[in-house]
Amino acid sequence: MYADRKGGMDFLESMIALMAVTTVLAGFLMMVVTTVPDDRDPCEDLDGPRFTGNVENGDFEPSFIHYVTSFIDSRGLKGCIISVDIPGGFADCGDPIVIGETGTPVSSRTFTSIIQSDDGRSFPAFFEVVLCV
Amino acid sequence: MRLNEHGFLALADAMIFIIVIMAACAVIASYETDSAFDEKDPSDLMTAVESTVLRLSDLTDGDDSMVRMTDLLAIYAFEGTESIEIYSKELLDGWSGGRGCSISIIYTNPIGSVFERTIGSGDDPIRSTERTFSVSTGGTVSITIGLCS
Repeated sequence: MYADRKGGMDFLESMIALMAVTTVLAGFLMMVVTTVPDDRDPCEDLDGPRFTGNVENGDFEPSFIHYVTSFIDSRGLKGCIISVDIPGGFADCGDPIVIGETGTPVSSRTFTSIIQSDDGRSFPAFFEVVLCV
Repeated sequence: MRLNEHGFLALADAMIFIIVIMAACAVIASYETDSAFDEKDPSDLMTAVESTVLRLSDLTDGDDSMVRMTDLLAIYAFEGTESIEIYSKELLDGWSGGRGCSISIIYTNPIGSVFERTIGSGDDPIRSTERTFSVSTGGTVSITIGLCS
């Protein structure tokens, strides 16, 4: 394969340029994909409907403690703080529920559930979940 | 204008370049849109309102009979009971975390008269949901929950 008088190789030169550009851009694309930090919010994996409970004698009894304990263990998190808010004052929510250790908060999310009361009422409750590392 | 093989390959080169750049942008954009997960959906609150059952005496001067929240909102639209408005505002604040949102209630009684009231604030909602429920004493109540930015 020889160059012409002007030093050009016409078709072959174009093919080589095309492959070079394609290869470099493909490499760039792979680099971008592999170096984008994994900033996925761990709260996205929480199962919202699991945050519920019931009201007995006016006190809120959570039913998610075991689930949250398993969740933070499986994700390598230090702990979790869960604040329960029941509008209307239909139950005593007490202090925020702390599971594990209260380290640095990394993520939070609010879930809505319906709480069953032992007197036949059912009403919404809001759970603010803060995950800590 | 005619392209020789040199010009044609240069054109193909440029087009492949554009396609690869577009693919890169699409990949990066998909990472960014994942963060939009936390957007609230008014239908969640609508489901909660629909499932709420209270005593009539919890929010009105009535007896201890059980009543659905949708019926209580119909009562509010009819006579503007303050305690129902306060409880509804607590629901809105608890759900939205203080963002502007509102519940609009239109109660149509059995003879066709219409009563309308709105709880909360927030003009021009970015997302809203509407549902109509039958009222236990007759008529229908149409509830719209809107979330503002």
